[in-house]
Amino acid sequence: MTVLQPARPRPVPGTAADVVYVVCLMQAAFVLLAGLGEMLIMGVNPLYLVLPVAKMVLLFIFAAKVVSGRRWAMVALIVLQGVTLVGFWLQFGAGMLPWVDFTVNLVGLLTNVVLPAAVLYLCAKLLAASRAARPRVVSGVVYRPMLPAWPPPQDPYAPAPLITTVVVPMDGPR
Amino acid sequence: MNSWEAFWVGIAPQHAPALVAAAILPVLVIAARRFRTRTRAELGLTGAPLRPTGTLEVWAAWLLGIAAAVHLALPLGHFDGPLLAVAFVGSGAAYAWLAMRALEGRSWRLLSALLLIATLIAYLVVSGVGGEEPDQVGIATALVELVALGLCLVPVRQPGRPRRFARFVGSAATVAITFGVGVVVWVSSFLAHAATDTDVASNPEGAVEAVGHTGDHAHEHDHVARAQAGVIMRPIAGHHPSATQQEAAAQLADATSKAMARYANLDAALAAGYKLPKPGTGTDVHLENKAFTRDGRVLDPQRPEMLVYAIVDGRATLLGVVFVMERAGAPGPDPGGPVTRWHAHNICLTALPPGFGIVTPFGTCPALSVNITSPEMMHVWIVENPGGPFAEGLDAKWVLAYLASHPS
Repeated sequence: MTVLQPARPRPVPGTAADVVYVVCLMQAAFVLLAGLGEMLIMGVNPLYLVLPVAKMVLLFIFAAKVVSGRRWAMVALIVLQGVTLVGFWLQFGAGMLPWVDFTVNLVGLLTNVVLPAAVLYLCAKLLAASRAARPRVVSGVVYRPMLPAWPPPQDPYAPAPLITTVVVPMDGPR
Repeated sequence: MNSWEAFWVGIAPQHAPALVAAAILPVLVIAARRFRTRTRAELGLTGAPLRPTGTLEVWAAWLLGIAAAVHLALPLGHFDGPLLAVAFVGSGAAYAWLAMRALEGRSWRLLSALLLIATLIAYLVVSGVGGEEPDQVGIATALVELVALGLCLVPVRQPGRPRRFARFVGSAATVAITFGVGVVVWVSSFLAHAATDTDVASNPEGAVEAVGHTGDHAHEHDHVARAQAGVIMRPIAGHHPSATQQEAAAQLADATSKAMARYANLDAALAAGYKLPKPGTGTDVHLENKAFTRDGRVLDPQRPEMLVYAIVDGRATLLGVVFVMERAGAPGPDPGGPVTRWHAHNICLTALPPGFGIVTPFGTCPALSVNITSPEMMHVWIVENPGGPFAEGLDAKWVLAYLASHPS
């Protein structure tokens, strides 16, 4: 008798780089929205879209290259998000001046602090992981990092392996 | 209004329970994990506990979990009928279930994407038709849902299987949906704000009714531009001006109108120290007098900090004035109570090229710009208009029609 159990494909797990990619897409959309808003206010002058579009393109390129595992892109994103974070706190400080104020709200905190901090953290983690996996050259000798010999991860809820053939003796042992 | 006050003004009271629920979610998750670990140890269960399969799944589970907490808690603040309460609880439960699926490494993307899109559309429809003024909790929840949707739509890149087209489509959809949601929320918040002026003009005695709500007194909310996307408003103590306040407002409008008769000619204003900005044409050209902005006098009809002219086809017509506070964050006096409401603008100043925009509902500015909030200001119009003398703005089309009907 043959019992066949259908093997359901498991979803492929995503990495930190995939999260970074999506958050950067969101940031690109924020920049586009703000740029278009300014362009409309400034008399539909397309010059006001140059910087936002440039930042959008940069964000997209960096994010795509982070997914490809490029270390320079991780560094670039860390710098970019760092500038955003520093800028937020500088503006907060400027808000202490008597003639201007700085409005802090929930959404602003999420987009200007939480999301950049998250991307920065994830990129730093990815960078550290890629550094650890990079071979080192000392006095002309290449040292490759030892990969940990962990057993492959087991999912307790994974379907049982495909049972191919079960031989059932029909007439007992001879 | 300082930063701290502005932060809380942005949160609608009926959404406070949802915000609290989202804030205590991490505490509940940590407690549940500890309980689970202890129970497993007590039961002598061996083997690795259930762990998510990837960083993306952890993020998705958290985002869906936050959306679940918000939706489950919304009926605690919203009393909009049993149907809506059931819808909130149902969507919250569905989000929680999908978060668990993501954590367990089971398929979650398709159902999550469908639920997220449905929820976002529902929110935009409710905001768009004026059923609810967008506030910080609503927009933040939409933001959380947008990130979760992006994680659903962009396929994971696998070694040897780049899926370039699918990733391109997912990426474009993520950017387009985020942009679209921002536009709708922005427009909704402006419409809600503009409706306040109409309310004040059409019903000066009971003026500042709920914008976009039923108008039912039991359900009345003060319009305070909670999206904080370009306009920052202070909440008012009462919705109905007293007879004294109405009289004071009328006196202020009258005094301003009489005092400004001397600036009917643009040259007189320029001679008095008001500066014409560039390009100096349009339906609402604001001329500022720097000396009046720091003369220590507030709400003085003789010395308004700005004049507003319509300068079209070489003809300048004085429309009204703007009173501006000297210190940012300092509240302006409101002799007319809810009729004489002050507002501030949160704007983005850019250097390349020099200009300004307004902060988006996502709280963001264009690249390389500085986000600032102006001192409080209040318009007083000296021309008869549909929004009344204290409307916050005049429609450009109405101004052009006014100029056409007043040729001299």
